Amino acid sequence: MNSIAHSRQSPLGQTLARILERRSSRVALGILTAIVLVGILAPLIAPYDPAAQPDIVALKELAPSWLHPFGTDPYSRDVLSRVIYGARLSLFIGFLATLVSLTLGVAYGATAGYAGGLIDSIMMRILDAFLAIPRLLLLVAILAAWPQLSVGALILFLGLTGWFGVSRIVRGQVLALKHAEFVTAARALGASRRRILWRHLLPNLVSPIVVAATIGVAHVIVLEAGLSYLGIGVPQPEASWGNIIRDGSDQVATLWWMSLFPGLMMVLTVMTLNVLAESMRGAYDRSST
Amino acid sequence: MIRYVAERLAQAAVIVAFVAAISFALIHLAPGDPFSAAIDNPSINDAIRDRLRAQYGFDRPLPEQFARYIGQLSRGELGWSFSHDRPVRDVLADALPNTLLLMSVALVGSFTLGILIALVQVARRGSATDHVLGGISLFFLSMPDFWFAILALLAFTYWLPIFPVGGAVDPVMHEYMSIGGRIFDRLRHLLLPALTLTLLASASVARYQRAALLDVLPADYIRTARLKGLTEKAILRRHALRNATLPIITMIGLSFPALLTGAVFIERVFAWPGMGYAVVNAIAARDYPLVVGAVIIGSIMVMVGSLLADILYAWADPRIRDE
Amino acid sequence: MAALRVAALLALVACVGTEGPPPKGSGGTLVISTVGDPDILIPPLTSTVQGTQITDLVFDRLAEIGDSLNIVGDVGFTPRLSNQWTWRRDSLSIAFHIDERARWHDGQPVQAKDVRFTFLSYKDTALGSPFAALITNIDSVTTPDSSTAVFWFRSRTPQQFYDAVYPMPIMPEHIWRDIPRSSWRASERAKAPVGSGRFRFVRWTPRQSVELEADPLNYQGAPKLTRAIWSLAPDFNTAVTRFLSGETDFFEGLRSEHVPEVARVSHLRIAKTRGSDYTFAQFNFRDPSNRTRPHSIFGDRELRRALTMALDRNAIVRNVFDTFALPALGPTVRAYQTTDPNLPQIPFNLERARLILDSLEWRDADGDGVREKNGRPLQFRLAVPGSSRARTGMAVLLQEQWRQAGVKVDVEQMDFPAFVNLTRTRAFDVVIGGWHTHPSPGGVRQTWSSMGSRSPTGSNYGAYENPVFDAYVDSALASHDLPTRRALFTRAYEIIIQDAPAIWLAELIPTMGYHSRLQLAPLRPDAWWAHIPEWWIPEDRRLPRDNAPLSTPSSTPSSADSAGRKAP
Repeated sequence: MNSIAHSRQSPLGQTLARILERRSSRVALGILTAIVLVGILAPLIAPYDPAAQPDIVALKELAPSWLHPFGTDPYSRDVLSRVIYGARLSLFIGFLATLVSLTLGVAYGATAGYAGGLIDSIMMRILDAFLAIPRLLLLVAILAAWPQLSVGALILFLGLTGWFGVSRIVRGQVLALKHAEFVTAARALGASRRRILWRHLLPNLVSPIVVAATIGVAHVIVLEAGLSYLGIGVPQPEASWGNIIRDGSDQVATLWWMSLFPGLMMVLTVMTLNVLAESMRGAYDRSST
Repeated sequence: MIRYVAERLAQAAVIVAFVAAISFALIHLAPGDPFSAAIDNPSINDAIRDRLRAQYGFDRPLPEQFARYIGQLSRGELGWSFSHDRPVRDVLADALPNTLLLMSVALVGSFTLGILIALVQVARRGSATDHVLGGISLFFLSMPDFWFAILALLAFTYWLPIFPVGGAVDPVMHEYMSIGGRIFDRLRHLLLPALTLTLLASASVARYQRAALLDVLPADYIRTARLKGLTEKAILRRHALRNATLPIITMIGLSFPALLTGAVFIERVFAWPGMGYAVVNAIAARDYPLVVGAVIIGSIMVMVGSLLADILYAWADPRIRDE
Repeated sequence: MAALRVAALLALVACVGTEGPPPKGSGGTLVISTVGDPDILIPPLTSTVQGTQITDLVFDRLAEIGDSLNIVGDVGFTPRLSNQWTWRRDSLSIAFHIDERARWHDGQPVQAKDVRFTFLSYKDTALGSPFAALITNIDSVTTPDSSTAVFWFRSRTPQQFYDAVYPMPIMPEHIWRDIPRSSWRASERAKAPVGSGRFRFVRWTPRQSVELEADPLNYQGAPKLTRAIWSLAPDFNTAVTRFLSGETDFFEGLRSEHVPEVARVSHLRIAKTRGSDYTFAQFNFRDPSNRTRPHSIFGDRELRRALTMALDRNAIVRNVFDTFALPALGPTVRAYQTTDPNLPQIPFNLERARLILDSLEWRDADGDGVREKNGRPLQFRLAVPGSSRARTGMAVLLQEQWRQAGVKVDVEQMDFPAFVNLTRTRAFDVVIGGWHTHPSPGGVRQTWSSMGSRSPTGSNYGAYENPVFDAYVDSALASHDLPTRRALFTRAYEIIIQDAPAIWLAELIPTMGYHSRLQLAPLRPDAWWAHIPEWWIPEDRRLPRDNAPLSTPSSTPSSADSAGRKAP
């Protein structure tokens, strides 16, 4: 029993080590860390208050310069500061919403997979129905009904609409692992269901969950930006990447800096997340075969 | 095979009922109940108010309201759109063909382009071409749909004004064009949004397809083919691609939600009068029945798409077909 | 100084269309870029600018105001449906003789009964026309014979002729008599109007276009243009781009940032007119959820004044409009002879605003940057129509400046119909609204008087009521002597400014862009579209769209069912 548990001790650690063998994922991890740091340290890094309108006549709509590297918006707010705070908010929303959906998804999927039988098939039909509704449309329906939601509620709804895929993955893994040798062995040795679930199944789920979470964060960031662009996401004067683009969206040609910089930041973030997810998946696949 | 299709159809019906239940719950959970708020709206006349009351039975207990709602839905009644002053069904019936047109052009386009890119990558796997194409598709995959659409609009209607600014037809002159002129007018308006959606969607097709092709490449029969002296290209074309058909079908089924989501943003940016455009306008107009109607129809679209893909898969996969 | 500026603008307007001797000609299709759809296409109910433009061309008044916009007596007014009118000696009635040649677009003759029917409709609360407040001085309309309509007035006022003709384009009785007035708003006929103007309605394709075409047999003569089309853009940006790219000929809402672009394109021109629009942030005096109760925040005059004081209105106007607007003076525009351009304002003074809020016991006890009183935060919603870039811009500026004073504002954007709905149902805290003023300053009765507040159809949505203000406005309108009128209006404006029922934001200087192929007629300052029937496009500047034939070239449709929608 000891030896079994030992060899399976840290699949995440193994995966991580493998990821870092690849140069592209090292670079991606570096960039992502930098963006996360920028977000966390936003109050220290940002040159200006992101909501402040220092001089709405003289300082509005300035093209990028040394004083305002990303220019200013129509309200004289510094776009660089807003992009930095946008990183903070977008990542915050991404992580928290993904946390919510992971919790729900793991609980739901593990329950279904472990219970099996009728319960499993009912739970899966329900899941199919949820999966059939395009997430964006579901969110639009919710957010249109509750105008002026706070950021907290937005996170909650993003999380509540994001767990369906995760739970399907988790259920599949649980089903596969349930009959795996080491679980059978553990059961034969008299381990309780709960213990099996916590000590044996969950650790083996970590890798696929981390992959799903990474993609999940990327999805949420893009979704939040899209919703903010449509005007039902993060409300003024809060800065999120989607919001900044929206503020400049009716003068894209003249205020190009308001679409370009937040957009590039977003693409960069999502790209690094995708690269990491991919190499993690690759590493995980290799380690499991 | 028939049994499989029947099973999937039954599943689909259950799912539609469930989607209806969710949307009903949404309508009633929303603060201020958008339907009863509409009742106090002075711009709504008595006739419509009576119709709404008859349709939804606001004063009745909730279960009865739900039964009515399901009844209405099963007859294809989706309620009354306040901002258009017409039934939601009619509004969506006008918009749906435009969305389907955009999505189907993008579907065909993105799969053609995506598979071509994947073939090139696999044929030269490990080369610089492979890496560059991989990087480009990763870039497109990571790009938010609306951002790319804004850039495309800016580039091709402002900097290089070769496409019209938006809409499905020339708002003024379409009525006066000859048949040929009308078709050309439609194509001219369709091209840029369709191209945008195609590029966005082909990124994930290319990545998925590359992986699928690499999966089948080391297979034994391909090794055999190689031993038979077939060139790399011929192998790719004859064997690998054929064996990657099933993943393509799976991918088609999976791509509908992404295509629909992309269509929402692209329609918004290009003012393309489809369902996504209708839904975005409905949000600003506080026209909740239209929003919910679009969600239901969108879900049905996605489901029908994946259902068709499943049936196609069953038909293409001898293991299921011959069952 | 301000008078000089107005004069300069008028001079600029006068230049339009008079470069050299006006060439003769006719024909062409005018395409106007506009943002959003009209709401409805009948004069008593439309509340959108597109609706007003279209109905002004499809319908006729009895007489039309002159370009000088004189409102005293009948000086300057030109015949329309009435080709001749006579004042009774005591001036308490005017008899309008209807032009026998006038026909509705369905071929029926225009008669005196149509005039009476129109008056009764405007007055009927079941119809709920917001313009009812403008015709209260008209007691009745009688029809001694089929071609004479007599207006009877309650009292002699300088502008009773204006009151009789300007607010009410005449509606066809035979089309509308069978429909209860409460149902007009939802009627299909309100979307496909039958009028008597020089243009007739062809089709309205929602979110795409509204099309009018020449009425070839019109009693005033066919218009020079073959057709006029409103190209309805979903948003401001599309509308401007369509104009700048040459897809459309005319756009009325140019902003300062477009000027360099227009200057770069050789075939585009700019025209300005005298301002007749003002925008404001209006407080709701009543609790939006229960109108019998006062609003929990805005019932307090001192608080409203403090909120006004916290705003740097000059900077806001400069930010949003650059030089294309002036700070608004009050519920009026500088163009009125009765407006004193030096009306005293509540000055911008953030420190004082903070002190007043402190003294009203709105204090930030918990240090979150938002003041509270009795546990209730100083927080409210600010609604704006998303289609107006100016108003959404002002909302963000207001939000931040009020934040500096410890006030939290949630900005709510919606489309224009939803915004109109919100204001009409009076379910708002604060809205950024705007009024397009009529040539008479008497419009304030509709928008800011107690009458406008108490009548369910009145347009005083915020329910500001001050009998002293009402009394001064009424006396001013009754006064025949300009200096007295002006003094009385000044007093009324001073009262309402100090009461601060709204924050007066900007008085717009309308800036229009047009394609040089258009041969414009003079742009009337209150309604640039008034002379569209005289516009035309020279043969050598025509595009394929200019030569499309009329939809029904022969004669006008004969039956009343043409009121149904023609478009597919």
